[in-house]
Amino acid sequence: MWIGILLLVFNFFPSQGSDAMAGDQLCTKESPDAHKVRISLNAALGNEAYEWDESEQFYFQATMAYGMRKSTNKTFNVSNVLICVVTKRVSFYFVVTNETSGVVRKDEVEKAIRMVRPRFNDAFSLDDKTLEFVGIEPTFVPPTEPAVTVWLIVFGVVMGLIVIGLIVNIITGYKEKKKRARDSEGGGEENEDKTLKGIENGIYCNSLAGDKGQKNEAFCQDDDKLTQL
Amino acid sequence: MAAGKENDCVVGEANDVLKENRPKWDNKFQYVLSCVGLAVGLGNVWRFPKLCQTYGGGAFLIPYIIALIFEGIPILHIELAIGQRLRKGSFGVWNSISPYLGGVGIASLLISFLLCMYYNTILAWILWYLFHSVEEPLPWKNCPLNNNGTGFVEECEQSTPVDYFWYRNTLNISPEITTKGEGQLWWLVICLITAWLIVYACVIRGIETMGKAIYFIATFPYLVLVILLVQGLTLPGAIHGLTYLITPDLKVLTQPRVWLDAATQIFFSMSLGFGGLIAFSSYNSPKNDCEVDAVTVAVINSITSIFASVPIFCILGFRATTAYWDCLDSNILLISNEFEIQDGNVTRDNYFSWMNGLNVTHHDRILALTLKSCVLKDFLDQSTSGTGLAFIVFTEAIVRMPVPQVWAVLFFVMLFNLGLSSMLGNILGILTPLLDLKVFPKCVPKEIISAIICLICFSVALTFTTASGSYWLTIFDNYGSGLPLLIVAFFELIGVIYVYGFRKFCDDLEFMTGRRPNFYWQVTWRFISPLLLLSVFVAFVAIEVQSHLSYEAWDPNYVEFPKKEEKEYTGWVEFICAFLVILSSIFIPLTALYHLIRFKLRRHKQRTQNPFDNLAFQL
Repeated sequence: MWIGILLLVFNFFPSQGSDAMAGDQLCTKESPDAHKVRISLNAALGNEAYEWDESEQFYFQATMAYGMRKSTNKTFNVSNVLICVVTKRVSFYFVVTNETSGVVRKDEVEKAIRMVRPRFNDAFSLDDKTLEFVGIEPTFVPPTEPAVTVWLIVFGVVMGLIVIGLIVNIITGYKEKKKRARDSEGGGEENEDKTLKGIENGIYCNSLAGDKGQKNEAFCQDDDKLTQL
Repeated sequence: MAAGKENDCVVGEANDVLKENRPKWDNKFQYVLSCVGLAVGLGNVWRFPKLCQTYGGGAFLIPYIIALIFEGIPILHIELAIGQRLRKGSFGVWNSISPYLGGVGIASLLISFLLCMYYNTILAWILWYLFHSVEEPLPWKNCPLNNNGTGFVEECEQSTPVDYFWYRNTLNISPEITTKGEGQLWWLVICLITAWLIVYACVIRGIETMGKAIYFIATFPYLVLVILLVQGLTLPGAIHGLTYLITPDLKVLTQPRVWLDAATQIFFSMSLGFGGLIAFSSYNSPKNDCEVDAVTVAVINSITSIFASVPIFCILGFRATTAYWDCLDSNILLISNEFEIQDGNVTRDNYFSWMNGLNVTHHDRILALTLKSCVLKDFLDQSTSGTGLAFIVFTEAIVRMPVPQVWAVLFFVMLFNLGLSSMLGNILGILTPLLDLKVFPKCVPKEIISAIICLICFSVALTFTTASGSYWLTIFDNYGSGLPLLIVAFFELIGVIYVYGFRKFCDDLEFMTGRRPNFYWQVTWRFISPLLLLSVFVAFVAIEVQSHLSYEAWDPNYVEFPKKEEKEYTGWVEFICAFLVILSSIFIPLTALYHLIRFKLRRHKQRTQNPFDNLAFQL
């Protein structure tokens, strides 16, 4: 199939008679005004990749001619775009001729390509990387600067929430302290009586638990010396 | 007669406990959750997985669990028990046991202070990334354009967008630690303010506020880990990460370094020696089963580490695999272009067979192509630990996931909560002793005291927001809280078991838990743990002394950029490193010496007084 395409390509030029011989000479790998094109259909489209055949090539020539028209306002036709050295990759070289059968300079072609690059990509459902014009770097789209820096907004929201939380915290703490102070004033004495009842003059067992320390027998009180409650 | 009096003693809470008015936990769950939150921190997520992977995957668990049983759990139990019994913060506890040991409490206090100063800066970095996580596209995905729009910024081109965002956009890092820079970086300062306000809001009234906040802070990370686990297992290449992590290599156990790293990892991971755990347990009622608590907290901490490694390494495996595929794809493109092979013929699967064929037939052309060497293991080896893992490697993985904003937000909120829970515990480790010591007069409310602590730490932390701040932070991290903690823990063990008295301690435990400690506790507390700690300390010192005092600097002018350049610390920086180590530990001998001198002076004074003075009547 590829051999068929190659044959077709090479038959394309001779069928144009004398122009074809000139075309052969104009479009070569070494020509200073030739551009190399690389197309990666599988990388771009995967399973939906179409085949690169003679019609696609014709489409390319037409799009290129359109680009030249747009850029120079002169009439270019499909026949002005010459393609050669097509490989399986898919890659090929092309040159653009003008009315006088001379080759259009490289930089003018480059200008045309840059001008219609997005349309070129869309025509083939490809992008800057998969439709590669060797030597013409894609212009970088400057990153869209958002109107307001987003992160400062998030920061502001978080900060606001924290400050609100802090204020609520402080206020509730203050209120609770006042309530506790009021409560302890009123009911404090009752509570004290309840807890201390039966404990006065009593000794807690856990404080007796340690076996360190020595009891001074001289200070042992007799039971009857203590006032009973 | 006196004997008869004894039988009339009263059972119940001592009067002083009832009158104490000490704040307490709302319920037991809050207390355990707070301890777990303090122990489970950033290290569980970004240090343990890498250690596990470096030391032979599954085999590392053996020294890890042994260290847990013989070192981690015993010391944790002692801290919880002593705090619960003596009901004071770290300084009060050690002062009660013996005034000569008061220095241990001061050392704990200082170490906690040093930690609080720098730890919150890490949280500020996490907040910065969190704020940016809602942007589309994520700011660390693409390099920014240079000034004339013809290409990308050179520093970013040579390294990666994630590196550039971290080192340049976030830290604006200087090539050396001593470069002054232009002062504080405003974006880091406002993130730091936010982090400190959050901390303050949680500890404003001590455990009253903290206990309520901890329900969310300590549990949310687990939720995120489960979500990341589910997502991570579905990602392509996750299996490579898991096999890389788990593949056990039992030979690695013969290296002594493994055992040292396992012991230090257990020790530092459980936040022992900071005084935070003592502070937490001091708010308990005395009749609480601290033995079960200790085992629970330690086991949960270790399980969290092990569990966290799984999603982390799934995602790291995914990142390595996609980076490997990108490497292959760029090589495939180069080959296809050079040899005019039809696009789509060379795939990732048959790349190597194509390469072998082409190497034979067109060797010189292949060499001229400067193909990158693509080995999956190299990409897996790039997974580091610490901030490098979180801010460089993991962020790159997030960018490659679908809907990256969701994963970024989840990940950074998780990291923030992990760090916050540890931070709160440490602040409380400072607050509790200060409140107990009654350093401030009674009229000063708790809110003001916590504000003062936060303000002091914040002012010091402003030095970490300069261009060389992250280098200083590494110094504080390595020298402020490495060696001194081991010293403090050793003295804690010796202090409780030999100075306070092992029998007295067992009696206290029987009072609190209702049973005496069994054989395991007796053996570990008296012999195994102190010996183990001593050997870890000696080995740690030996290794530190041998290693150069150097740091890795990010210098765009370095010949081998983007590799980091190893630079040595200059004289006065070395002095600061030594100062940090000595600062906390010196108080242990200093306090003992101070009390010894006071004691001797008092004895001397007593002896030179009138021998006929009847001391019985001295008040």
